[in-house]
Amino acid sequence: MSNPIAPDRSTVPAPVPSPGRRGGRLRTASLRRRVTVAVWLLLAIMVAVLALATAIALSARLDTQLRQRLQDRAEIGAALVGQVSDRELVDQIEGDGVSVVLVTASGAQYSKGPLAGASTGTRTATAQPPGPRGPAAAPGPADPVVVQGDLYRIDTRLSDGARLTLIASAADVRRTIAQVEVVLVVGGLLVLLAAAAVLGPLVGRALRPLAEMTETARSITAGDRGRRLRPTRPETELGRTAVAFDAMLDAVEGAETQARSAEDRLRTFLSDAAHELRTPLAGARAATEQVLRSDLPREERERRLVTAIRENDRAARLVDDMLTMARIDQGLELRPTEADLTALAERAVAIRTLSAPDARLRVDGDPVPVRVEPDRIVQIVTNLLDNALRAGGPTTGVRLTTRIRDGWAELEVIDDGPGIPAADAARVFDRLVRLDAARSRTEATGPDKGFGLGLPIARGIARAHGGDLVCVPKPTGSGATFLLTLPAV
Amino acid sequence: MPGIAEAAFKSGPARPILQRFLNLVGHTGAVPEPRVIIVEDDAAIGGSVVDALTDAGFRSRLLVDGAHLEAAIAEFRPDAVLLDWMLPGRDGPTLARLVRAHSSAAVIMVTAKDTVDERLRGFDAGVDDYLTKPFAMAELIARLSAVLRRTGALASVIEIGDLLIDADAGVITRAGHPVELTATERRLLQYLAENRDRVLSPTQILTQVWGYGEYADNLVQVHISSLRRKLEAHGPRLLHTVWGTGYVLRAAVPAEQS
Repeated sequence: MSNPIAPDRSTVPAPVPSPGRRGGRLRTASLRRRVTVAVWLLLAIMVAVLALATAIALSARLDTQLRQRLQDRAEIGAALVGQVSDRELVDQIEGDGVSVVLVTASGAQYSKGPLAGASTGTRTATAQPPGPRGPAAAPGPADPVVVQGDLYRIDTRLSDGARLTLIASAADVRRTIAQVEVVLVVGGLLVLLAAAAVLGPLVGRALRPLAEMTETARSITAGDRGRRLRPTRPETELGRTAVAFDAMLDAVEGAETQARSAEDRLRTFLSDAAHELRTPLAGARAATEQVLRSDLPREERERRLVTAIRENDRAARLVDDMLTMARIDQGLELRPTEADLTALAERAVAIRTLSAPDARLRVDGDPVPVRVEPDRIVQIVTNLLDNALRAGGPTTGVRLTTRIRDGWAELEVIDDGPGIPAADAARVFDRLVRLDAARSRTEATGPDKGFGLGLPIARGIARAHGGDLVCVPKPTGSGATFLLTLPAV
Repeated sequence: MPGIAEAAFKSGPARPILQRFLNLVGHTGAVPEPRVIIVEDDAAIGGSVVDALTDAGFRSRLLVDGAHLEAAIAEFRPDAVLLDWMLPGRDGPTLARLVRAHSSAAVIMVTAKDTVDERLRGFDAGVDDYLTKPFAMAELIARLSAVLRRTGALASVIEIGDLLIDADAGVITRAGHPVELTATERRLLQYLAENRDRVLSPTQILTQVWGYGEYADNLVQVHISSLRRKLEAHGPRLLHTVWGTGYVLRAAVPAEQS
C-alpha cells in the first residue's frame, strides 16, 4: 500500500477545543447531594405538614365531639324536664365524662360526676335572665360551650327555671392528643432519619450510569481505547449523554489513529533516511582516509578526494530532500505566479540536456497557463526526466506533451525505457523505494544513484499546488508514463 | 609605486578608474590584495575558507564570533565581510547592519537555511550576495570576486603577458586583438588566469570549472586544446602542458620550453 505523503485532509476531523478555552464553565454542583437534599426537604415538609394536620384535625375533632356531647346532653336534659324527677334527670344526663349540676328554681342542687364540684362558685358572665316560659324551648346552639382550661361547660336554663350546668374535661383527650403528637414527631423524625440514610445511596444508584461514564473515560485515558458506553435506552437524558460521549470517543480515536499513523510514517521515514545517509558518509570517510593512509600519487589522491566530495554532495542532496519532505508534510508554502507549463517543461529539458546530451528529449504542446511556483514545477519535471534517463540509459527518448483537459492543465511524460510494472505503479511514490532490488547501487547511474525520494517529493509538490502526479500503468516493456495535472487558469 | 596611487588604490571608488589607467599605460605592478574578514564559528569551514582565500590572493582574517567585529573592521579595514548568518550572540541582520554602519565593505551572507524568507531578510539588512551551506569553494571565490570587482577592490582586468582578460566586460584581447571564446572557454580561462603560474591538474580544472558530476574523460583536454588554439592565433604559447601533472597559464619566459 502506498503511503501518500499528502494525507487526504477531508478525513481529518475538526480539532476539539480544549475545555475552558471557549465560553463559560460547566456548573457541576453535586447532583446526588442536590437531589437527596431536595427530596429530603420535601419529605420533611410533607411529614411536618402531615403531622401538624393530623394533630390539628384530631384536636379539632375531639373538641367538636366534646362540645357536641355537651350539647346533646343539654338537649336531652331540656327534653326530660317535667318528665322525670330532677335527680333522675341528672342521673340520665351524667356519664361519658359529662358531669352535671342542676340547680332548681327553688335552689336545690343536684350534681353528679367527678367535675361537679368545679362548677360552684364560678358563674359565667352570661347568666341568662329568666326568660319567658316558652313551651319546652330547646337550649340548642344558642347556649355556648365555654372552655376554661381543660373544662368544657355549658350553662343552660331549663324550661322549669332550673339551671343546668354540664361540665366535661378535655384533660384525658388532651393527654391522648399530646401522646399522639409525640408519636407523630418521633415517628416523623425517624422517618426522616431513615430517609436521609436511604436517599443518598438510592440517588447514587440512580446516577450510577454517570459514575460508569467516568470510569470508562478514566480507563480510556489509561489506554483501553476500545471501550464504549453503549446505552440501552438512548432516548433518555442519560442515554443521550452516553450516545454523545461514545460519538466523541469515536471522533477522538479516529483523530488519534490518524495522528499516530502519521507519526509512524514520519518515524519510519526518518530512520530510513538516516540509514541512507550513512552510506555517502561512509563513502566520503573511506575515500579521505585512504588519502591520509597511503602515499598516493597526485592523480590518485585527487581521484579519492573527488569521490569524497561527490559522496558529500549526495548526502547534502538527501538532506535537502528530507527538508523538502518535512516542509511538504507541514504544508508547503508556495508563492505562485503566472507561468506557462509548456515553457517550464522546456526549461527542465534544457537543464537535463546539458548533462545528458545524447538523450532525445522533446516537448510538444501549446502554451498552457498555470498558476504555480515555477522552480518547483521544473523540479518535478527534472525529476521525471532523471528517472527516465536512469531507467533507460543516456540515449533514452522522452516525449513531454502538454494539454488542457476538463479544466486541468496536463503534462504527460512518456519514455521508451523498460517501463514500470503495473503492480509497482503506486509503490513508486513510496518514500525511499527503489524498484528492482536486483539492480545494485553501482549499476545505477546519475547523481543520486537511484535514491527514491524524488517521486514522493514531486507528488507532494503537485498536490500542494492542488494537482497530482500519477504513474499511468502500461504493459511492461513499453516505457513508463507519468501524468502531472495542475489546476488550469 | 607612487604614494598617491597607493592611497588611491586603498580607497574603493577610485580603484576601477585608476586600475584602467594603469593598465592603459602598461603598469604591471602588484595590486594590493583585497582584504576579507570571515565571521564563522565552525572551525572546519572557517579554516578552509581562510586557506582558499589566501590561495586565491586575498588577505583574510577569521573571527569566530561577532563580538569584536567593530574593532576588527576599524583595524583591518576589509573590502568584504563573509558573514555566517546563524552565529550565537548577535544575529546575521544585526551584524550586517553593523558592517554597513562602520564601513563600505561588501557583505556576503553564508547561511544553512536556504529559504526565500531568509535570503530576503539578508537583503533587507543590506547584504550584497549570499551563499548557502554547503558551498563549493569555486562558488565562494566567484561570488566574492564578482562583488569585489563591482566595488573596485579587485582588479577586473587580469593581465598575463599581452593577454588582457576583462571579466566584467567579457572582453579578452591578445596584443590588442579580440579573442572570441565560448562561455565554457571563458570560464576555463578565468580559472587558469586566477591561478596563473601554478600548475593545475586535470582533476582540479575539471572540478573547479565544471563541478563534481560525471563527465567525459577527455573533457578538459578537449577544451584546453581549443582554448590554446584560439589564444595562440595572436601570439606565443601561454597555456603550457606540464607532462605528468597538468597545465599552467604563464607569460612566456625566454628560457621556457613547451
